[in-house]
Amino acid sequence: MKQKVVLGNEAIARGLVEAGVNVVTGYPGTPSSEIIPGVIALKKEYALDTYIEWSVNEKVALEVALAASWAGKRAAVTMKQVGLNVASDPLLSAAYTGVIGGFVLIVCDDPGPYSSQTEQDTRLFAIFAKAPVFDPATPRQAKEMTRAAFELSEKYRVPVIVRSSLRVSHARQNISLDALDSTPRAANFKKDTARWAATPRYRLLLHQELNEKLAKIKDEFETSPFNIKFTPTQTAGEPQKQKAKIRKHKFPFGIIGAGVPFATAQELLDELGVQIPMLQIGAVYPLPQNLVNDFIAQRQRVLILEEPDAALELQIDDRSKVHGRLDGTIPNAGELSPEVLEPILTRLLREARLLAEPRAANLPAWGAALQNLHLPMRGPRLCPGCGHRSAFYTIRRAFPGAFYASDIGCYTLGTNLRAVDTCLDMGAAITMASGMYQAYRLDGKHKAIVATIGDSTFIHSGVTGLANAVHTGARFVLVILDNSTTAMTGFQPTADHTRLADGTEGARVGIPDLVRACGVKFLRTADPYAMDEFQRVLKQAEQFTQAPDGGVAVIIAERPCVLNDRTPIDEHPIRVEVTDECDGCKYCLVAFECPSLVMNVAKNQVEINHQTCVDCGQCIDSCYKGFIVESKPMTILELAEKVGSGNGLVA
Amino acid sequence: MRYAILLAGIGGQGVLFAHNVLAECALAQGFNVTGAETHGMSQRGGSVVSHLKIGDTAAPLIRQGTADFVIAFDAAEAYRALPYLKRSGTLIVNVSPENFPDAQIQPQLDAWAIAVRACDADTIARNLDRASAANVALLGFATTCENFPFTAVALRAAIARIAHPRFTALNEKAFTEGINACQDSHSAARRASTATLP
Repeated sequence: MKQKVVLGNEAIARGLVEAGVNVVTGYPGTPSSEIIPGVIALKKEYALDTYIEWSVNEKVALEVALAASWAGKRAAVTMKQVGLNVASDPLLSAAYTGVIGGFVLIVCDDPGPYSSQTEQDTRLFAIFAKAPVFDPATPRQAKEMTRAAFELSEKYRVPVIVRSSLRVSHARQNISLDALDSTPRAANFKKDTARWAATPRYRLLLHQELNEKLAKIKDEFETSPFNIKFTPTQTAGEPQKQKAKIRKHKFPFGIIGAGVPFATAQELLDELGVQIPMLQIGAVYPLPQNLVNDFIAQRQRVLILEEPDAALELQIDDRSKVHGRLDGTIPNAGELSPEVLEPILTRLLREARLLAEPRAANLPAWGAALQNLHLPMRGPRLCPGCGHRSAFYTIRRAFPGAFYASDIGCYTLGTNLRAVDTCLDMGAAITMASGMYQAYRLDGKHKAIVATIGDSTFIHSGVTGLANAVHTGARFVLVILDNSTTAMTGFQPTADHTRLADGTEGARVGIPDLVRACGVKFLRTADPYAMDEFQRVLKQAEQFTQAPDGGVAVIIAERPCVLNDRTPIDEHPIRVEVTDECDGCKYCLVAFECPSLVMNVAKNQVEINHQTCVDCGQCIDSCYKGFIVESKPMTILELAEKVGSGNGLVA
Repeated sequence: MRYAILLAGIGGQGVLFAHNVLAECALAQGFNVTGAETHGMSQRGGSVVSHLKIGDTAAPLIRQGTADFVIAFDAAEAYRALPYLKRSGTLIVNVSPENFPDAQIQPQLDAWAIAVRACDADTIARNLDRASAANVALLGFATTCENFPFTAVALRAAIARIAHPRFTALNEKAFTEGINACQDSHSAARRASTATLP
């Protein structure tokens, strides 16, 4: 059987396609963003006619896919865990109405968190929404569960969630490449008003029906192939006696787990050479109560391993013998990494007398030794040449001390330029700006407010906030940072351009039109690279916010993402250098913060790292002493010396 | 066979590429592979770490103190990754041997019996006029290291399968230069002779 090493998200994409999915929608969000490109690649490879869409947000994505399911197609929607918050309204309703064609949500959690506002547990959401949920520990399992999710969804006509996580979605593993389902599923919506348009009294009936479905699914999960018992193999020597012993005295310690933490424990136990009974729960809700209770009954103590929250543990009826998150055995925040798990597990094994005490000699810890090296901090920063840096730099100069409401995207890294005060969730820049305005207005005070939001984020959930702001008379400057893409998640296209997910052409929904449609009376477009002009426009905007007949002022800062589109810079490169007069004051490093400006500690001067510098020339303004200059073009003599005489090279 | 290899560097150095090459090599030899990588922030100047585990395990992350090898494309990231090495593990690092390791860390390296193998892959790449060839050079160098699980032949083939065809000639050169760096450099394994095994 053909095998291939793939990313977890590619394994999920493979699972979707092998299940014969007809419609896939989603919104980019780490760690889920690679699933849709994976489906697109498979669509091309196998010449399928799957419909694939980057929707404008997760709620839209879910509803679009759901309708296809109601028409009888197999549909899936992908998102990160906080995206499910956005899509929660249709999900909860859809659990009641049910589905026709298999309907699967792939939701990717981010324990840590590594790139999210929360480390919430999608499985808890599933319990709340009353949607069954699978919890894979590996890319291989994620593929298998994705396929099984469609079967389950169609059999019981419920939405089913596959809860991936960072260490599955961004893990790599070899998977088998299996045959694709090609069952024809014709679009054929059957009217059923009591279901699809159910009013409250019908909703009660649907709720009762849903509860019955869940009871049946719970029974099915009692024997699911994804809920796996691992029994210790017989010990050498006296197998019969050992068996009798286990029967007579409960085996002291066992583990019930789900997802990556379960796999981590398996490997750790293998390393320690200890075998204990283990139960892996891959179908977490509705929990197979009998399976779990039987396991617990046979043990003296049971450890529950899962992350990032206690979805499995909370469903256990009798927790008197159970240790986990609820009693503090497992920390309630942060990733349950191997380093966190190891001391907990070894302690419990020792207490159960399954592991000998550690040998005396412990190797010295690394912490102190590494601290003395003062290694450079390499936190995330805006790229060299990023238009957002220039925009924030100018915003700070024009409005020092303003309230800077911002949002989610690459530009959140404007925190490094101290031009971002708040980042809550998608679209909050505009609404927080409104609320801050109202708070100060209550006191009759004026507060300078500048909100920044990205182009993709604006279309995702900024428009409603802007309409609200105009309608209620809020006054602030809004800068839409338009770099023509959804950058942080991998340069996905936006509705402000015509290109669709699969490269074909759609229609443009222009941001300027959206802004005007919200009733905004001040709208300008400016290039953040042209700093003086940009500042002038910012000042005009501020004047408008303070004018008697003024209101929200919007500036669209247009400058393409430098990683996504280098052409504007390559057309006009501006090579720079720091002169020898540099006195090491570091103002440029603090105010402009470009990664290509580096401090030469020995010389106490700033230098340009030409390997990372993109020749945008934007830093020149940031040395008010004039020590960053455009490099002079070489004279013919200098060039001749450089290339060497007689080798025929022409500059 | 069971091997755990941690790869570390900064965005743009081809950490992911090196991971894919090693994974492909292992798969071609019939082993299962699993691992984990970091995305997103990597292109924005951040550290990139990727875990690669060869053999039958379902856990994607390497626990600190258990890696057989750390392959680091940058000196600072090499230091940061040291806690992942097991006792007697090997650090392969892209840096000129004269500049590594810092004397302050030597006692710690000795206590853990870490073998340090340094190769200035950046200079090899510079001489070939392509900064991004450094990772291939370092992989070539890695094949000369004791206990490295892959032969030069196997790794060369994996690179040819994974990399874009237009880089084949360049990769061949860089890989070979990496192997040669082993003979040229004074980066002899620094294994503490008095280290005691528990």
